[in-house]
Amino acid sequence: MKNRVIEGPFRVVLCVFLLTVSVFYAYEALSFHPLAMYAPLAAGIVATGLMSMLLAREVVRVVRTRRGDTRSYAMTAEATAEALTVRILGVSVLYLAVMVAYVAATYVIGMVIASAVVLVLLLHLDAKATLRFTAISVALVLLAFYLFGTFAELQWPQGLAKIGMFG
Amino acid sequence: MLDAATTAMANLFTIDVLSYLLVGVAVGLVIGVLPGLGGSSGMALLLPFLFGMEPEAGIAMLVGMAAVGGTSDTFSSVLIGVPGSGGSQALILDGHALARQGQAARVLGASFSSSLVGGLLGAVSFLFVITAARPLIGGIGTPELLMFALLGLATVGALVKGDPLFGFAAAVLGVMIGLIGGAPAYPEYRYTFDSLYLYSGVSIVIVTMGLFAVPEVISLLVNRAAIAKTEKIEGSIIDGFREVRKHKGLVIRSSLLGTVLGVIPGIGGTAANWMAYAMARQTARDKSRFGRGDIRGVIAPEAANNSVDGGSMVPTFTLGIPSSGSTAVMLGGIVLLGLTPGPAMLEQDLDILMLVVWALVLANVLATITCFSLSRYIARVTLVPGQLLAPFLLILFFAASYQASLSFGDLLAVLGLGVLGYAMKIANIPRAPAVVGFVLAPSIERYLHLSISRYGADWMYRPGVITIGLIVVAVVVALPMFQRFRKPKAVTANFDNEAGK
Repeated sequence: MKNRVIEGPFRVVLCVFLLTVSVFYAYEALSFHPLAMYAPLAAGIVATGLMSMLLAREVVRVVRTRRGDTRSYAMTAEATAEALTVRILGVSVLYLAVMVAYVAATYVIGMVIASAVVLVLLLHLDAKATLRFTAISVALVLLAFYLFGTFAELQWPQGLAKIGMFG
Repeated sequence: MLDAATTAMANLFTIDVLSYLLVGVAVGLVIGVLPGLGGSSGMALLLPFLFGMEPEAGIAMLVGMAAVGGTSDTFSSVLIGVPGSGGSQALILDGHALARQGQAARVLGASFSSSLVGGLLGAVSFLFVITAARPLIGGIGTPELLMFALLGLATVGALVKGDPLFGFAAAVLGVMIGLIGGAPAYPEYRYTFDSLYLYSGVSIVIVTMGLFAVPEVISLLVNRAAIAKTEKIEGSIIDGFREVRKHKGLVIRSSLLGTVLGVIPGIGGTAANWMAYAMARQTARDKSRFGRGDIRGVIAPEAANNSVDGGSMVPTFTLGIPSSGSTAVMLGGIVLLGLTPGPAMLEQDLDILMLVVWALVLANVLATITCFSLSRYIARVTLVPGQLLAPFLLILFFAASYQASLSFGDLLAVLGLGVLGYAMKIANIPRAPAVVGFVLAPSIERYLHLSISRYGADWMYRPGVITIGLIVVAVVVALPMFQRFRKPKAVTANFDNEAGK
């Protein structure tokens, strides 16, 4: 189950999403002044057309594959070791969630501390790096924040907590 | 012309510009060495630092990075058999085979030397083309520029690896993102959802970080590649240099092939790499060693891989049409520096174009010297496992993105586009056309508005417009059909995974 290839269904879902965005984009363009309308309207219509064609084609491919026709996704899955499986999608969603958490933490406690936390999480807990390696890495990243913040005058988000560290 | 060349050289050898060139070369070397990290991600990483930079310094940094990826991507291809970029795929066949036979130093020497020759010939070709093209720019008006922009979209959409229909869709998606914000012809803000952040549109930094950099980080985390064991660098690097001298005809032929392919938008390093390899094999009397360890199978693709850079600068700078993923990002960088890529650059910014030539030459020389002298140390970088590298890259990319406008919206936009970019990546939908579409969107809208204002409907009947229009139609209709009858890998560009190409 975990190694089931889902490239086809995933493409269908993505096409549906992009088609919805394209239709909305074209529809919204109708509300603009004519001088501001033609480019977005044209782009929206072209995108809607292309995404409709792609969606129809992907649906046909998925149906064919389920009927045992190996000319589309089944062949793709065999031909490449990087085919999208349930497991890969699940792990990807997990890491995307870590990124969302990182951005959320940045919003609350600022980027410097959020970075230190995410580094510990990913290095020590996920990659199983030693505590020493993790500690040195965190120290180096904090040093980089300090150096760039002080000497290159770069700024980092302070978050709701207004923790103005290193920039 | 000579004045511009000397001015450009004088500009390049100022401390500021030279320092930024070195930064670009250093980043390009590291990005090239790390397997799986594309040149587009590296280029995207540099964009936030372009704000407020002098154009000369920014161009030197971008060109420096673009020029050296093709040299340093050799390490992982030869030593661990994993392509450092799409442009070094063919190198694995004979390069890694020879390394396993204890000839890694000879392969690296041959590779660096042929890369240098390829890079230098690419730079000379760029100089030749900009010299030859200058007299032609008089007949180019806004309608022709509009058509060139559409040609860029069409070629990039049609020639990407995989499905041309998805390529076109991605290009239009990029245009849609590029049209967010203020309209050029009327004071109206589009698709902003009352968010102040979106009033000025989405920054190219955010788009490239989101579509290229974030997906690469997730891939590194997800794929969890085992720590590679490197081959020892045995033998003499000088032997490789001697091989290049022995096969100088092949080096020159491959370099010229790479340059020509680089000029054609959408071809890029991957196709040039494979075509040069195929040419070396076809023209060799004894083909028996190819695939099992023939030094000609190293020399040809490496020369082509580096000469592509010089060729790819031609459409990027003079037409505003990027020829690959990383030149698409570079195009965004050029815009950030306040320059307008297109035929007008041949008149107004000739010194900048000359600077590109000198920067290409110097970057290639520096990369070769660095790789020759530090190869044993640089090789160790290939051993860094992805899951240890990814957390640092994650922080780096988000911290760099925040510099785009110092708004929290930058982080949200990168996150959103990162999710979209990763979804496109795992669905095998090309992302480079989206960047190209994004970069070209404002130009397309502006040129269309100007064309209609100045010429009414007559702009469509200009000879230049009709000619380019026919080429666009041919590209959109004929090329995808042509590709169906050919092996995808041999003729199409791997936009998304090419380092520096």
